[in-house]
Amino acid sequence: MSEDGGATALRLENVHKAYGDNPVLRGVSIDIAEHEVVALIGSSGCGKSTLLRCLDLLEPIDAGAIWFEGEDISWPGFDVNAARRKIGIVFQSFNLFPHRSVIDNVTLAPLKVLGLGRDEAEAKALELLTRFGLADKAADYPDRLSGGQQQRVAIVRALAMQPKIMLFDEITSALDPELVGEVLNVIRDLKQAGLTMMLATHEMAFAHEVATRVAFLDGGEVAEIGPPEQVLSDPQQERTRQFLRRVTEARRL
Amino acid sequence: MRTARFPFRPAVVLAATAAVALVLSSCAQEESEPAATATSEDACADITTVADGMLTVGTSDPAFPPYVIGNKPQNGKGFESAVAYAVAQEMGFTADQVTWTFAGFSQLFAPGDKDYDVALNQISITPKREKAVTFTDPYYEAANAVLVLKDSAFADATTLAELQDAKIGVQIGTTALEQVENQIAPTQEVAVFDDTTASTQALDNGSIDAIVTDLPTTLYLSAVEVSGAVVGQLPQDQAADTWGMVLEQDNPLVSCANQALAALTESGDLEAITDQWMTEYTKAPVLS
Amino acid sequence: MTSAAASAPVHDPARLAAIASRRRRNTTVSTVSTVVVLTILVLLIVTSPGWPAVRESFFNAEYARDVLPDILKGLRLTVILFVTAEPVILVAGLLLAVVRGLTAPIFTPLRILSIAYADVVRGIPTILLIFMFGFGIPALNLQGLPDDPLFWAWVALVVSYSAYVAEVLRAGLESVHPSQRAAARALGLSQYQSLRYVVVPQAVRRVTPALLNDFIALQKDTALVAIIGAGIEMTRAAQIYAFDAFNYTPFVVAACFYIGLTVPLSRWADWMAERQRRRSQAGGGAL
Repeated sequence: MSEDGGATALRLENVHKAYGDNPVLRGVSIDIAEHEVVALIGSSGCGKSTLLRCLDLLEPIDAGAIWFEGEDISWPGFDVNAARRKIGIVFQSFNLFPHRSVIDNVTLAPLKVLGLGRDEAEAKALELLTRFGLADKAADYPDRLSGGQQQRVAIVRALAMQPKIMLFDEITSALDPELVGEVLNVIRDLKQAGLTMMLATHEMAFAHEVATRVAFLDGGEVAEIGPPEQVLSDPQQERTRQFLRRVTEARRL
Repeated sequence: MRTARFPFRPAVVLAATAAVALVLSSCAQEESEPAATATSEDACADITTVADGMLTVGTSDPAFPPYVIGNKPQNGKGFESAVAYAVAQEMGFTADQVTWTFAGFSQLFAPGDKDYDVALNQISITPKREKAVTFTDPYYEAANAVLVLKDSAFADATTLAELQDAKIGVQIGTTALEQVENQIAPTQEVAVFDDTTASTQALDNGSIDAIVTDLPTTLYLSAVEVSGAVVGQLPQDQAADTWGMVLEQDNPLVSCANQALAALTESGDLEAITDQWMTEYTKAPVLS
Repeated sequence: MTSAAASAPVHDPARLAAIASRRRRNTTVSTVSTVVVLTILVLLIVTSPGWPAVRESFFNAEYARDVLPDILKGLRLTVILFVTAEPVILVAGLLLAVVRGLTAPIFTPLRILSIAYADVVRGIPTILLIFMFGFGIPALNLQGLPDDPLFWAWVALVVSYSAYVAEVLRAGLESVHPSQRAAARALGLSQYQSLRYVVVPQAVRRVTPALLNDFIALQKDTALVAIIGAGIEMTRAAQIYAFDAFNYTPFVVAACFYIGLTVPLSRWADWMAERQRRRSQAGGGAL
């Protein structure tokens, strides 16, 4: 089910994952085309985070395949580091490295993994930080920054590796409401720049605005997937409708 | 306008301080016992000992041959054990009235009351030491000697100069270190061990080439413990190296002990004891 | 509130004065009581009947001056021993700790070895290890191995302390949240790189006080090399003079030097930790 005409950036094929006896993903299949923005919605525990972590090979899958650049990257023995260079992920809890300054957080991977020279890495890092309004924080340590600033640094850190596709795991959930806006602006920017993205989110209005497709995950399966006008405003599935009703009641729309 | 509150907390602190001070200063300090003065010619009349009616003798544990045999000074076997019982007898204590206690080297000069009356453990009398403890008159004149393994490169040495390149080991607290440094002036730093158990182990595995310690011990070791040979004794420095029994500083008991030693010397008993236990262990050529 | 009035912070001078005066009074009380207690303790010691003998035995100025050259010579060996041992101990301890944390099945034998090492070595008293290595190995007369007892005593110290340091570092590594490693791996850093640049630096910072503790203990334990006659380090140098003169002052002199090593080290570690704290604290300023 790929987008009309666009090349596939990442394809999940019937992915299964269980933690012990507990199945979390039951045959998830999604095609993500280049420049697409896919929003993942669903209640907690439905498998959104697990799915994203599996995509970045932080967790092994039990069955199925993950196709990236023509290869099944989920197969045991695959060079995971190579794949992870091209797939960026940002977590809900930012996970910045507290013992390194902001700029050192951003330049670490480009220096050690991409092998850039220090000057080049720092220049590129500053460029990115400036683009997202964080240039004056470059020498500070993460604990000095506000939540929103830290999350933006986390995004910049992932972008510094120039990934082909970016995954966002509920990156605004840990933030105060007034800080959410600055992070969402970054996502808008990235969409503008044409970056392929998949984001797990609770922010329905934002998903509506920025996603090319929305996938509703329920009980480890893709219950419904389609353009935001369909999934969010006029869902086909009863489950989707129920979920959205619950969300509206919680006044999150 | 707030009224000043009664300074409760600072007052509590000051009161507590005063209380602590009171408690500490009320700890009564023990007065030291008045010294028993010997008024009669017999220095052993009217003596006080640590344990009433008993003479408490201290020595090391383990105590080594030929000074104590089998690490049991109570059996009277061994030079120092025999000397102790003989001196005790002259002081007026029968063998049953002698009790032994452990006196480690570093305890010998600790300030404060001792739990022994006299201690013997091949302690050399030196002026420095006399400032810290009281010694009896000497009961033995000791020489230091050099012990090497039979197949050692140094086994044939006859002069001190030939030992200069040897790695020498000595025991801590003996006069050997000073003598070795003065008379041999070795090129390698002298190794210092806690006791002969450690130094013989080192000699056996080749970490050191020679042990320098008192002559009787070296002869004993070469006969019994290591397949060694005693190369020779070190010549006596200006002052002879003499051993004395150690008492607490200014202990008046020393007069009685000295009287006893004098009696034993005069009667020839001391020489007899020395001959009995030490003859085998006193013959070695003097190195030049 | 109008905007003009709202911009200036509000103070109550009477309240501020009360706070200041209370603080002054508390400081005075604590100072006075400290001085009083210390004075009383000193007076008690100095006026006790046994004091002259104790002073002569422990604080003899002439012996202190006399033993100083020997102490300094011994200090040199002490310093050489712990300065060369500590880096090796840290590296060995880190290796042991890291190996212990490797979960892949291929590393299982190494992991078991690491556990066994930590358990067995920590179970053996250091003094025993010194005997075993310092006497035992030269006695084996193996070709190609150095037979200097000082070298083997040093090895024994390194072996012993690596086990303790390994456990300290293991605690440090385990205290770093797994999300840190996940974030590092997610960026494409390898297992080794994420340990080296992300996990280990954080782990070490967390256990620096414990590591410093072990280092300070090591400085004293270098004295153990003397039991096999391997060399005259500072404590032994003090002991030689003390046993010769029947006086404890040399030990006091040696203790002063040990303290002289410990105090700057502790202050330096405190300073490093403070610098780190200042850099990371949002807004800074302790209450």
